[in-house]
Parts: sequence; structure tokens; C-alpha cells
Amino acid sequence: MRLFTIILVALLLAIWIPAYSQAEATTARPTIGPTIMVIPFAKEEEQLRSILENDAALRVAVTKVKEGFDDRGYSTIDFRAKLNQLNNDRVMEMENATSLKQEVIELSGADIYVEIEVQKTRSGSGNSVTVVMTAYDAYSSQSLANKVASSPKFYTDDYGKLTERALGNTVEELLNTIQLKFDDIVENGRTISMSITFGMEAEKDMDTEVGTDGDLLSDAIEDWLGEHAHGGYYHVQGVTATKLLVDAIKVPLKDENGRNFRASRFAGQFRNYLKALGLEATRDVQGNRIFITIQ
Amino acid sequence: MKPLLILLVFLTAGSFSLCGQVAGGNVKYVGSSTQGVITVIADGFGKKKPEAFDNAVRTTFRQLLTRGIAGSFQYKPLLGNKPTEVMVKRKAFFDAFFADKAYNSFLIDQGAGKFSRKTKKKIPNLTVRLDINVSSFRAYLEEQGLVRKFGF
Repeated sequence: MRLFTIILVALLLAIWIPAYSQAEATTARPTIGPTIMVIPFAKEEEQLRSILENDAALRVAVTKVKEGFDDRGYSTIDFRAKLNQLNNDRVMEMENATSLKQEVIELSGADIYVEIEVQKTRSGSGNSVTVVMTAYDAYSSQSLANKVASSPKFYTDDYGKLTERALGNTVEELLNTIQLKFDDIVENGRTISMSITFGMEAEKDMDTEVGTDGDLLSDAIEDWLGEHAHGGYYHVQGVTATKLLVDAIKVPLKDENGRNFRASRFAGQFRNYLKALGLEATRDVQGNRIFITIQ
Repeated sequence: MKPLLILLVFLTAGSFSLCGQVAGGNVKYVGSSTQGVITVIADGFGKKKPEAFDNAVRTTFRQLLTRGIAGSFQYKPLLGNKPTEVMVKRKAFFDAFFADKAYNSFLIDQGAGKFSRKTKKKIPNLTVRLDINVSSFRAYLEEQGLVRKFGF
């Protein structure tokens, strides 16, 4: 009977272990889908909507890039639909085009946006098109990928066709480069930024001595960042008596429970640290940007 | 005498490594007539034509996986930033992939030049032209968990 039990357990393990290993190989780190929006490039004072609606070649370029994402099984946020949605309320009130772009990006909740610009060249030896594509991380404004595609010269005014010809497989190259950046993020963590300032009534500043060692507050904060940033990587943009700007802090993509690591969690940890130093602080989190105000 | 001997050893080693590079076969990008498809010309070595053909195809796929095809839209390795690491980690998969000739299903067109039976080691026996469906090959690698799907 005992021998039978041992054999049964061994058989069950033999069935279960390979199945588990296979599952682990493919689902160890499920892919998190960032939200992506493809938008037309706009100069200052130019209206995004009119640019897109008045330029067929630009619409072709935007659609081709979206098509590239679709081919990889990835849906994008539709810029025009989002614009229409926002049109009814606050967007129409805004005058500045740059602000409008920022508004659309922020309100769409896109993690990544791809800006598309189409330049047309007319000449006696034929017309051509150059498409400039740039992908940005919406929160950190880091550039993820940049590509330029040009068409040959043809005696045609069909700029839509020229745009299609220019893009060719360049969209694929753009996606490959973005994916390599994603791989890097998976390995080295995401970048968040933190701005630490003081309230109007605050009695302390960055030069205040804190803790048992009497370190300056700014030095104590840097030590904490070094210990808590992913791989100890952080970069201080600048420090004054009233402000400490950290433009890059690496945080892991996932926490120990496999959930997405949120900037708000990092902010919470930092606030607790300040509390331990006897400092009261408030925190605001916008995407990957943390704003700490010490009272 | 001794330094001369060392120099001779180094020179011999250097020439051997160069031989190895050439014998590995060249893969040259020709173009991309269809979206997601790459056309290449590759060199193959072997005693018989099918063997040389297979050698050229294997070389092409290895290059696509670990180096990328220069000039094409897949100019970076298909296996990402650390291709060698992936190849070692999933050795069993790649052994089976090449042994079963699973790569053939991603060839949408192929053609071979004249087979040369007598040739020196560094001159290929056969030159082949291959149309590879890179998009579906990537999808397959994603499905097998070798390449991350698009996203973080």
C-alpha cells in the first residue's frame, strides 16, 4: 500500500512539475499594456484638430502608425475620438495649442504618445514626403524612439500615397525600438521624478540638520533615495535651501506581490520616512511625478 | 625565438578565426516587397545541395535571432537586448527548433543558385534567396514566451 502511494505521488509530480515549469516560462512576467496615443505634430499656435483635418497625408501617416500597433495586437487610444470627447467641455475654451496638446495627453491617460509630422517637398524633379515619428513617455517626457522616413521623388500630387511609400517598414522599426526600451524598463525599472519643496509656513529647509547623525536634510533624503531607488539609481537635478529636484528615480515595474508598482506607493514610503524624521509633509502624485511639500 | 613562436601562434589563431567568420556564411538584405517580410541572400555550405540549402537557412535564422539583418526593418536581434542569454536559457527549445526544421514554416518563398560540388572551405557551395515572414516569426516567438509581447 505504501509503495502504491509513493508511486502515485511520483506520477502526479511527474505530470504536475513539467506543466508548472512550462506555465512559469510563459507567464512568469505577464506583459503590462501601456496606453498609447498617436497624435499629429503641432507648432505653437497651431490647432491640432485643424492640422489633422486639413492634411490628408498626415491622416494617412497617423493611421499607418496606428495600424502598426494593431498588427502587434495592440490597440491605441484614438486621438480624434478623444478630441471629440473633450471638445464638449474644457478643450474648446483653451487658446494655446501647446496647452491643448498637453491637456489631451493628460486627460487621455496615455502612458506613451507618438508624435507624427509630415513634411512635403515640391520640386521640378518630383515631389516627396518625409515623415518624422517620435515616441515619448507621457509622464517623464523621455524620448523612447525616433524615426525618419522619406519617400523617393515622384511626379505626383498624391501625398497620401507618397506618405505610405515613405513609411514602408519604418513603423515596424519604430515599434521594435519602443519594444527594446520596454525590455529595458522591465529590467531596470521605470523612471519617476520627485520635487520636494517647503510650505509657506515651514520652519525647516534643506539645510536643517536631521536624525541622530546631524546630517543635512538634503543629504539624508539622498541617502534614503540611494537605498530605496531600484538598483540605487537616482539623479538629482538640483538642490537649494528650499527645493530638491530629483528628475530621475528608478522604481521597479512590479512590487513583491506582482502588482504594478505605483508612484503613489513610493511617495507614501517617502512620506513615512519624513515622518520618522519628525517632518510633516503632503504629497501629490500626477502620473509618474511626485510633489512633496514639507510643512 | 620564443617571442617569434608566440607571434606565430597568434597569427595562426587570427587566421583561423577569420576562416570561421567566412565559413559561417553571409546573409545580405535584399529588400522587403511585402509588409513584415524580409528578402535575403544567404550562403550555404554542404556536401549536397539540400544540406547546403539547409545550412544557409539555419544561418539566416540564427542571424535574425541573435544579430538582426542589417539594412532591414529587423536590424536588431529578434530576441531583444540579450539574445545570447535567451539562447542559452531556452537551449532545449532552440535545439528542437533547428532539429525539427520548424523555421521552414516561416519561409514564404525560396530559391537557390547553382550548386558547386567542388569548392574551397571559404567559398559557399550554394547561394540561396529567402523570403522570411518576420512578423509571423515574431508572433511565434512571443507565443513560445521567448520574446516579450508588445508592452512592459
